[in-house]
Amino acid sequence: MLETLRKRVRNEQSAPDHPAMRAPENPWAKAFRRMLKNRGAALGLYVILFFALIGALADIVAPYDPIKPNFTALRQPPSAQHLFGTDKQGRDILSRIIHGARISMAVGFLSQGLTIFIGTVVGAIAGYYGGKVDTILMRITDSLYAFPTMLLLIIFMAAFGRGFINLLIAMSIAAWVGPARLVRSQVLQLKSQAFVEASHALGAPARHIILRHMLPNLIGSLMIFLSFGVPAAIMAEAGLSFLGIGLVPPTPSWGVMLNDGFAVLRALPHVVFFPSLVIIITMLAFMYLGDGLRDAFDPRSS
Amino acid sequence: MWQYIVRRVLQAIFTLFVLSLITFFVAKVTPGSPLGLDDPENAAKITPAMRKQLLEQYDLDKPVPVQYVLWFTKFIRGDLGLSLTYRNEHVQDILARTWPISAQLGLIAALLAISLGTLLGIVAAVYRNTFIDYASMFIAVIGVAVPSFVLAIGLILLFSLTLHWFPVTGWGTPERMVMPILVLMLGPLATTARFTRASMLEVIKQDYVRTARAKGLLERVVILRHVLKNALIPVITVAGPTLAGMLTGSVFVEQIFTIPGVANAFVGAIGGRDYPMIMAQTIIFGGLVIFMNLAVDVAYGIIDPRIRYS
Repeated sequence: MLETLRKRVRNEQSAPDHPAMRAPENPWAKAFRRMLKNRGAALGLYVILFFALIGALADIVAPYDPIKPNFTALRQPPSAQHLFGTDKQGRDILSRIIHGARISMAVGFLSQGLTIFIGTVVGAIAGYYGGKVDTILMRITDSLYAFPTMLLLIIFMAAFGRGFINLLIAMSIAAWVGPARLVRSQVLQLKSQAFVEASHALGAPARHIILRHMLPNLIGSLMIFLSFGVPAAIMAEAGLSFLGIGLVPPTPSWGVMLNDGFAVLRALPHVVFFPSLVIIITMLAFMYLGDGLRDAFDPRSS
Repeated sequence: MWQYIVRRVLQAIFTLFVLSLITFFVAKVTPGSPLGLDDPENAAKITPAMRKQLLEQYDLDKPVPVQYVLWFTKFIRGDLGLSLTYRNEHVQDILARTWPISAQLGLIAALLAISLGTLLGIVAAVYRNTFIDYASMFIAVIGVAVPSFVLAIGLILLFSLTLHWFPVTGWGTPERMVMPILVLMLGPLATTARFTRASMLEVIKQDYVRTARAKGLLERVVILRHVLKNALIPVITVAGPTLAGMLTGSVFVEQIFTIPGVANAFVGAIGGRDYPMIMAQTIIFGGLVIFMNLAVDVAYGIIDPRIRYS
């Protein structure tokens, strides 16, 4: 009986002229398709993918060594050999920008991945268990939230010293508060929903409820957070490196390049021009992608 | 409402207390010593007796929790301690010297950003999908996408090095103030404009606006009396934090244009492990942000009678 029913269902599902009988589309795929229809968001996504790709393949794509000084090509304006020119140590700006894309993407995504991980764990624990744990965690987040992130970052960078790993750690310590508050408020909301209560009544352990029932509901807002957090982190890296407290020269980071170029701004304006341009393009790409994601994941807002 | 305010203020004091604890211990566990005692360069010059005396003078010889209690009891009495980087100068005096500069920069930039941003957002919404809208939103997009330090570099290149209109560094004379204010205000201006436009468009869709139009009111009256009044309420939520963020002085602006304000003093203090300065500034920055958020919440309730405090 059951077998024949299943068979019939299968047959009807496979009928091509019955769109209504098709399996419902994965909501993530649906949101993603909605987003790609937004031309700005799609373009933003392609630009970011492009930077990620050239960053990943930097060793192959970059025409010159990004770090080794080349004393036969000092201070050259843009030319056929050096499309974006060279800096005062003769390093090819284009090659440094390509390697910088790798660093920017790595800083942006790794730091925000870590930030979201810490924030989600803290927010989920605080929201799910409530009580004293919640009070203590939330007082700490309130305190950190009341302090400008940039200044917090500067404190941590001064404390840990410059460098890539230190920067990642500093960024996630400075920024986990945002996702923690977001996750906590959503977990609080979800906790009182029927499907969570049902799971709880069936004796599901907290870990199961949080991971299987709550987390999938959080992914949308965390994605949006990511789309605004990653460019903020990329901008912060560039800013800190520009101030001389981010990454250590001669690392080919866009911020370090700005710092290099600022010293020779009058004589060699092209040294700052190209990294500035790439930073702006990256910010624009993330902005349009973020707006598109928000509209796609939250249809009410548009 | 007074009950609500009192409760929030008490909460804020507690929050600041936790913030001071966190900062103090972070500042203490970090490597590097204040007063340059660990610099190999100074090590030869500082005798053990001098070292001991210096450590005693600044309470640095005691355990960290004791140091915190000592700092806290002084702080309660209004004594922020001696700065460790600017020797023998009181933190109060340094703050009194640097704050007015940052406040001036921040206030001018914030007022311009909020008023021009709101105006831009209103105009964009009223003339939506016209050239004016696209032009306004283009400015807003630029403001969000161009980091302040990139803008600063661009302005210096154009106005100082090429056109020679404004000097690159310093503060005090009007021509020195133009570029820092421009740099500081563009980002918040863009945010405010985008936010205002979205809020206006939201309100324009409402039934009561349609009713007002159906009554035959002039479009001008509809916009000014019915739309604007309601659309500007949410804008307050961005205005508060904007003001707080700018008053604390953008680190980038003060560093690039070498403006002797608080943010520069803060960066200098961190470099020198000058924890009395770091602590004082942390409390002030934190307090300012918390106060602005509270002010926004209270103002919100006064302007929008639908909101109840709980």
